[in-house]
Amino acid sequence: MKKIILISNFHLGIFSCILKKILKNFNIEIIEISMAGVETIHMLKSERGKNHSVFIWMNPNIISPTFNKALMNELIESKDALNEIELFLDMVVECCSSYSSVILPTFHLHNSDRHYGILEMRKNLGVRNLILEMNRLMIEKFNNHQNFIVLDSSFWFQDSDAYSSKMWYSAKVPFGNSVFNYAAKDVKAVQTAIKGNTKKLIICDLDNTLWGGIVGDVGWRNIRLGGHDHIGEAFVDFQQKLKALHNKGIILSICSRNTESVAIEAIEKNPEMVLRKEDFSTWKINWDDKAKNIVSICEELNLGLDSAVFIDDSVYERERVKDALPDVAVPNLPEDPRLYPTIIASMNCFDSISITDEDKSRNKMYQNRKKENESRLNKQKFKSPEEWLSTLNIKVLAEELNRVNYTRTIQLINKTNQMNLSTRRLTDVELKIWADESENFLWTFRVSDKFGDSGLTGIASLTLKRDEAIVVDFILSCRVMGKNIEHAMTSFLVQRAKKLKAKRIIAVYLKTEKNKPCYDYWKASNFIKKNKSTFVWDLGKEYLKQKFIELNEVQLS
Amino acid sequence: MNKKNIYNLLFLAVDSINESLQEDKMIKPDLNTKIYGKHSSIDSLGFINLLVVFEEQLSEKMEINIDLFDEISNVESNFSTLNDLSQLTIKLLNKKK
Repeated sequence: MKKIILISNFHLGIFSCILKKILKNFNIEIIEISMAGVETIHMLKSERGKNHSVFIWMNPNIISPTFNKALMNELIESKDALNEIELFLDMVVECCSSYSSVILPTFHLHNSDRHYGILEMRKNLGVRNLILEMNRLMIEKFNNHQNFIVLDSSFWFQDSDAYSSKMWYSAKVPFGNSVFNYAAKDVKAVQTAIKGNTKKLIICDLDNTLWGGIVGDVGWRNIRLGGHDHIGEAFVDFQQKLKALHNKGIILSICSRNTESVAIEAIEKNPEMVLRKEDFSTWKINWDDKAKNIVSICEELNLGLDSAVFIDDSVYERERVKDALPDVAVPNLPEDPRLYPTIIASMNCFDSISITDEDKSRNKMYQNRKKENESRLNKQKFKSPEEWLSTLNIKVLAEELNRVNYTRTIQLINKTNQMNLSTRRLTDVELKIWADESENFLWTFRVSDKFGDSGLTGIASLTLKRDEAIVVDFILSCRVMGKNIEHAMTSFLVQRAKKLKAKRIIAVYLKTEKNKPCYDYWKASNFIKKNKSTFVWDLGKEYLKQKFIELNEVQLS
Repeated sequence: MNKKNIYNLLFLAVDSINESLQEDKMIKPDLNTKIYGKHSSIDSLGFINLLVVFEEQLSEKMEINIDLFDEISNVESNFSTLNDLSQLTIKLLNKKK
């Protein structure tokens, strides 16, 4: 079994516990040597484990008597302290070179003493300046040893409980638990990188993830991105973080429910876009199940699912992917997009032991491969979209137009582009006049599932002409598209048309630049296609209901 | 000072310590859980860590600063559970009034 040997001059018990917990799936034995002196490093020489790692976390005052004097603000010669540190570093190289990895944190102070205060960075005076020089020496010393990793310990001291004098005096543990948590995460990142399990691919959603708003509805000019807008700026920053990862060799791809031409137009034409088409090695922009698309992306790029990180603002999509593809990492994004940049920048799953030129040009290589091989078959077996949807407890509540839902209805009628049969736009008064006619009927649809209430997101209306019920509006917000709500709404309309004694129900699709998803839906529905844009259902026949959607109607008292 | 607040802070401290422990080594958040002496569910370092985190919770959330370590050494023979720790805390706080 692989071992990690932890050595420190202070008590490592808490760090060791955290590390055991965080590495529990790594099959690694943790050996702790607490309260060790510098001479303990010699013991490592006899261990000589090729597969083992060693983590050396020593106070510089244990290593360098001169540094110890500096801590008492005695005047010292920096070079004396640096010579002592160099002797220690040479000993580490001599004793540990045969280990698969030798991990040392940068030197740091073990308390928050101010020493020379505002003069701490002055050369040959400040203790912190001396630590900087010691760290520079360590980095240079280990630079030619691929298996030596210097971790930047300054990341570990960002919380208010970083130093704990109570723990120090009671148990010789100088830090609060937060420091050990950060340190353990870094050690895990090293082990992950050694195993070659570093994430290589980011699969990203577009609407409300790379930019604010729904491009299919608002158009590429009106998405929230950059400009004098705090949210727009956050999305630009988020894209910059992704671009930075891309620059160090992480492959970017897109998985989005959108019309491909509309989304690509936004990527190409919006001047605030940081990421451009050429930054993405591949994309699946369509109305298919995202889990299926992710499998397809990984197959195309010839990467395992465990190499991928999926980033999406929608909890529904995230849970679907977590459920269907447990190997894919799916970080939880906060609701506030201003926090996205910090989340992505602090992820350590992209850390690697080394970065080569090949890493940096990896995206280009995959782009070329995309050109060569445009399609691959999805052979992965996972829960089908229908099976997944059946676990969601989807509820649809239909309600006639009324004073309470009126404003939202007007908004949906005038805003929705993609799943919109006729794209008729109405003013407040026009809708009122239309709805007051006895042959016209309009219902709203509220959608909820186990992840929450999506609110009023659908509208459908009929007008009765002799024995025919004509579908006038058929509108669904893209927030809930892909959950088969369209089918539930159609089934509802069929039932209502029957009650109105109609013999046929007819949907006439009016093409716009953006409503192809609506056409695709009707084409795939059970309705009979009569001509290029007319779909008919004979009400003498039973229309199949969606088994996994509970459809109810609000009964007016 | 509310007894319930003391319990809440104590269980917050237990939760915080449990974050660093593997599942089979976690402290059961129950007043009868032994945390000191024979059959304790944690080792001595875990116990010290629990006291420190609990003291920090008291200081941060209730602005009360007490030294539980000193007091425990006085009552060692009768001290073993989370309930003993909460009772000791209440006694100390009453003394401070």
